[in-house]
Amino acid sequence: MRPGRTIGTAAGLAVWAAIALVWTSLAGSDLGGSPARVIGVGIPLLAGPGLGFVLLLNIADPLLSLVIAVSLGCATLVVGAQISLYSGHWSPPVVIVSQLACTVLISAAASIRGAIAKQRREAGPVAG
Amino acid sequence: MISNSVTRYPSPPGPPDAAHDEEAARAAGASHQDPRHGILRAGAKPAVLVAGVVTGYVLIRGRADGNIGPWGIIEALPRPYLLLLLLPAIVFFHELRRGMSRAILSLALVAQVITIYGSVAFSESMPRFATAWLHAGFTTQILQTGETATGMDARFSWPGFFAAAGVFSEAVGLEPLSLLRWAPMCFALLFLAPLALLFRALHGSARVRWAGLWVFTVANWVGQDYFAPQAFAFFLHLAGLSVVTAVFLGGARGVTRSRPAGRIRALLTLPADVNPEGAAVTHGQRSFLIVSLVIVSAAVAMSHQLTPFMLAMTLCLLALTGVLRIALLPLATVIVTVGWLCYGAQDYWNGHMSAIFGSAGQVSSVVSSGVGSRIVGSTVHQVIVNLRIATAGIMWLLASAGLIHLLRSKKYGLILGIIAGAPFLMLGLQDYGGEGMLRVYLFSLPATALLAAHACVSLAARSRPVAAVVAVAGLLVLPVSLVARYGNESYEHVSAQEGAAVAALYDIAPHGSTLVCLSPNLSWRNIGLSQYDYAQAVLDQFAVRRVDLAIAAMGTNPKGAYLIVTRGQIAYGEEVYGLPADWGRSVQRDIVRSRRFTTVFHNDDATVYRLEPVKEARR
Repeated sequence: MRPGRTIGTAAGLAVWAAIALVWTSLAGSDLGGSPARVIGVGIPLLAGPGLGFVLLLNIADPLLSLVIAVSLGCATLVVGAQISLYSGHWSPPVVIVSQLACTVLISAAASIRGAIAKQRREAGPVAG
Repeated sequence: MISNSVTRYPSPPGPPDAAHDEEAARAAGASHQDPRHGILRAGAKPAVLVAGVVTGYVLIRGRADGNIGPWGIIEALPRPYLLLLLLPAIVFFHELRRGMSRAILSLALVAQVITIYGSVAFSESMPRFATAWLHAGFTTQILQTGETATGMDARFSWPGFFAAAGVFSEAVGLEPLSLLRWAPMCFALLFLAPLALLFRALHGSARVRWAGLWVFTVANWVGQDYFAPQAFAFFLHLAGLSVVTAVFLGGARGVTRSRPAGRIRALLTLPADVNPEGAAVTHGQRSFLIVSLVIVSAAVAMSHQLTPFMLAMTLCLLALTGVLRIALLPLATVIVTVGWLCYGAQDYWNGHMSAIFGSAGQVSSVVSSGVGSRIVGSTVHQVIVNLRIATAGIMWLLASAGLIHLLRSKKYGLILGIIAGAPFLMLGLQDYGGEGMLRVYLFSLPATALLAAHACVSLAARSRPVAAVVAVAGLLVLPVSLVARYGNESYEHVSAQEGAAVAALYDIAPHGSTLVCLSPNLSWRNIGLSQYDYAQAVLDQFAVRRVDLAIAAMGTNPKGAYLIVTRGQIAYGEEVYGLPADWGRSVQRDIVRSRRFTTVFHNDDATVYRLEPVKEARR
């Protein structure tokens, strides 16, 4: 496994929690249509789950990571919105929260996985 | 690992490849070794690009209203803007020949996209294009009701994009109509990343790959990148295809050159300098990537009628030729596509099978309906349509030259040929409302752009004068591309006054009333899609000056009927129907003489009429 860009457990989880907090507060703010809200909420909404997936997989190629992050994020948004629509319980806020939850959970899993991998590397090879 | 499954060839001499790139860069950089000028030079190009974009924005902001003529947006742009349009191309070509800095090439490419798409986004006061307004209406409909109303429009059977756009607009706090202006530019920028990945997997020369990105940006005149499911699905299609080629493309193993099949497989085999990152993905990562690609395919299948078939067709062809070494992925794409057609789009295909497959096998009629039927209207309009056909023809010609060059040098040409050729299979199945040829051009463009770039770079590599001629031809293509892309702007753009008239119509007309437009290019239906009765356009009746037939077509709705006449609709009659220049005045005269209409709103660009009942008009 090549070294990736996953963040260590505690710091990583704190970062993802902070991102979730800022995102939620921006999405619920009165800054309708402001560039801050479009960039701060729109981009993570479209690319968040995909970015989490890329971190989890520890893909080293930046171009491949970018393409997967954006396309998978957009695809999960479509699937989430479609489920909400066809289930008869149409609710954009629920879809937004589920995208956020996906992002945070997958990224947190990536952080934990990264920390475990780091710990194993630091422990070194076990003498046989 | 992919590297194990790829048969590597030593690079033969001839077409540009990675070794050629290094040699060219060394030769170009030999005279520029002084490090003192390095920083200045590195900063100069980005500064020029940023200054060019900002100046362009200031120059054309809000200039379009009242200045657009029959040749489209180019007539509304001041001459200096046309020079600014060339600026990113000049920087790009210079960097392509000299430095090959990724940052500067990327910046120049982004600046090129902004100057092309900004020519309308910056200059027009309202979001453009009637279909985009209707798509904003679909999004608003879903946002307000949580229902798709599949009986209203076939597109509601594939609501994925509209539902996602609704969630996005809710999240960022913008009306769906506000997303229209910047959507084309954002899509054009989004396309670049998967294209770069696709090109990296298919060509060894970075110079050709960068040139391919520029060719794609300039040659993509088809205008399918507005706020629409096809633009979104095309991005996902590119992303899926690029990940597949970057990660799963293996080339043929066990090449036997003695047999014809072996020779074909040898042509498909990737050389050593292509797809260098392919090996950087582990077996476990590949399994997860397959899952993610199935999710992407599902999103494409839920969003658009045509794109999932294009994706499935391309992947199946790659699998059948043995280049794609996992059959699971094309199979999953087919299952997801057919599955959605059977479940989600059931309302559509029940009773519309002839619309879907009625033109199967009729290739010549699909081509003639897609090409011949468009060469109509005013002389200028016909010239613009012919210009588009010529652009497509030149692209395919250049791509053919590139393909032959690659095949002759035994370099991965056939893979590109498959990706470029797969969309043509659609012509045997569907005419897509007469737009089949447009879609074929768009879906083959990623591969044809790379092949054309290969042909151009190979040509430019011969000598300096030839390179200069190729560069000048590239610069001259830019204004031509602007005419091909935005040549219909006289009737596709929406002036501030027309926007005000549409807003007034929705204020005045009570819910349930009948709304009628003169021609189908009116930008409306962005709100109240299910709250009004939208009748057929009455252009045919007014074109033959039969206002009585137009009144009959408006029906007898007790809640009232409203007719809206705008500048754009009059221009549509002149350009597309070839009606005389004073046609607009005759429409107004006929309406007044009929004594059946009352003017309820009027400004310089639009008038809204209410149709009065017969007895009131007599009184």
